[in-house]
Amino acid sequence: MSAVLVADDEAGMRETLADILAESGYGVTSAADGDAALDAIRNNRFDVVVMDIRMPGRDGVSVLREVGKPPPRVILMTAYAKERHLREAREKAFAVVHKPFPVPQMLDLVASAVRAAT
Amino acid sequence: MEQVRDGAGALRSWRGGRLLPAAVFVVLSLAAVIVFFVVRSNVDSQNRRLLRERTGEVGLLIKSAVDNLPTSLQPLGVAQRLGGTQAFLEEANAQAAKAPTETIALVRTTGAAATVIAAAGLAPVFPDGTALTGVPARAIASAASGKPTVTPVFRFGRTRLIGFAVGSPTTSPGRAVLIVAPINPSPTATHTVTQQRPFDELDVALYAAPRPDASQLVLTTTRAPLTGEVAYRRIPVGDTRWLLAAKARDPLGGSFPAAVPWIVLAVGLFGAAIATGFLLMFQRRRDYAIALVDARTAELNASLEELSETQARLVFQERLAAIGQVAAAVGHELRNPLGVLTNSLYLIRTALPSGDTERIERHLATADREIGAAVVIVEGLLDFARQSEPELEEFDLDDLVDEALAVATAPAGIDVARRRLDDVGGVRGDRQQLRQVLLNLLTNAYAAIDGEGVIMVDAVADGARVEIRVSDTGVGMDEDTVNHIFDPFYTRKAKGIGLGLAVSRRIVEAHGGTIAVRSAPGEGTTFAVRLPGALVPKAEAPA
Repeated sequence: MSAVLVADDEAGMRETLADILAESGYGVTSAADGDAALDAIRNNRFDVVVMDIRMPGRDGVSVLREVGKPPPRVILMTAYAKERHLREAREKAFAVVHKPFPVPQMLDLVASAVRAAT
Repeated sequence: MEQVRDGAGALRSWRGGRLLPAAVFVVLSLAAVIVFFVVRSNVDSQNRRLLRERTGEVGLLIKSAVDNLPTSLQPLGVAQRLGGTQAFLEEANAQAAKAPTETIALVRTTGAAATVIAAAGLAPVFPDGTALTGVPARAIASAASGKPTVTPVFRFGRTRLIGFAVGSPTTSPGRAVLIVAPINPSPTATHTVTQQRPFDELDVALYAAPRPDASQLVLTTTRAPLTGEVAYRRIPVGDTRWLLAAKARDPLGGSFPAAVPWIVLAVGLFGAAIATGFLLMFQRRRDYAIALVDARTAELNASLEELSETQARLVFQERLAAIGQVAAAVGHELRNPLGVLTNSLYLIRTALPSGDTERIERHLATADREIGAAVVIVEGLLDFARQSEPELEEFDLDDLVDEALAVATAPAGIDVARRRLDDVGGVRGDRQQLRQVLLNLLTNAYAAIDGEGVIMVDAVADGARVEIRVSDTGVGMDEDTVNHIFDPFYTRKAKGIGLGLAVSRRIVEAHGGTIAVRSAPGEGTTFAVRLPGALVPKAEAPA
């Protein structure tokens, strides 16, 4: 079972996405902000991280910047068309997804990220 | 935009008028003419005075000449030689040779009759035995009685004569000498007498009568009658009075004084013309200046218009940008609930076949919640867009704070302390709007606290003023953030539309109050809402 971390400060998004991924057979862990996400990534091994860019405290891009090696496949989510570090996010992340997204597309992305990781 | 006012107004208000140059010319010319007459009158009176003086001199000369006549006859020895006609003739001829126009006659008188005994001279010679009557006879009669007499002008034949009669009554009673000279008034006569100064300057006429009488004209220096400025002087000649008339040939005061009035007139008129010219020039310059100012004013107005258009365009563009900002803020903010809704719908759809109602209910609740979140966002925008006036009512402020705290519950780790408005009837304001202000301040305070902290909600009365303070022990704000904290769409949160405090400020200001913030990094933040005149005394408190 592939391990996935869902990090989003928006409880609704975090919980529904975790439910969806769990139903699809992933082992899901949740984090409510950037610091918690970084902690989780440092202390566990995740195949894929699905993370919001804008979070209080540490944002998604800086978490991505600071995770050690080997970096997990990270799918970044954003609600904003003009993110400050969008280019950096595109370079470092496996994918950047704009909210709201079709759920099947997210599932496909996670699946392909898992395949790329293994 | 205001038009540039008429810049040439000051120039225009100078009412020079088109007629002014003409008026100036007329006035100055009139002045010159008046001065001309005054000066000329002075010069004329001076000339009259001089003419009187000169005429007097001439008169004296003539009188002296006439007075000397008897004396000039002495060498003739008339009186001594009256006894011998031949001797008289020799003397008379000799005398007549010296004065060729004169005739000298020896006359015998008997009563009223006078008879020429002998005569000498070139001009009409009285033939011996001529009986004299009239003027000469009377003169001879007078002379014979010892009184030398000058005759008036008289005619003898065709000749006009004037005579002088002298007798010697003691030695030769009844005898007299008559000296006559033809009167032929002619300008040429002047040549013999004008060597003296007065005659250079004057034209004179001498009448052997006290009045100008052409028949008694003895002497004249001009053919033309003496008219205009003529001076008269009476000269006693014997028993009669002669009249001397004199007229200056040229101005006696000299030609320059005579020219002075004309010079004055010319200078005056010239000055008037020059002044008028200057005035015209000034007016033309003024007109030019006015035209110039008008042109500049028009240019300025055109520029102003252009500026105004540019400004309108800029304002329009700014509004477009603001609308874009609003659209972006709202759109992005709505993406999150929309994303969650999408997820919830997916989850519900996948749960439907299993018939797991509990799961479906849970996802439906999530969807509901997210719809609520979206509604809050939209309402925030609508609150900001709405310009609703506060609907004032009286209410209990502490109840309102309780209500706000119940809606926006404090997150874990945050304590809320209260200071209540005791002993106060109530507060007057728009309850709904002030509730929103409290909610905004509370949620901001929650967001400012990272982990654990305390929030103090303070309500104090100062006279009729009510002050509500919400303080937190959160992270605080730097000066730049404090300066912009009430700007619409300004937010420090990772998410949020940035309208809460902007709406709050508008609500407070609509109540006639103020909202202020005091903050520093690391020292927490205090918002103070002051509502003047909002306090309702206890007696008036609603039942």
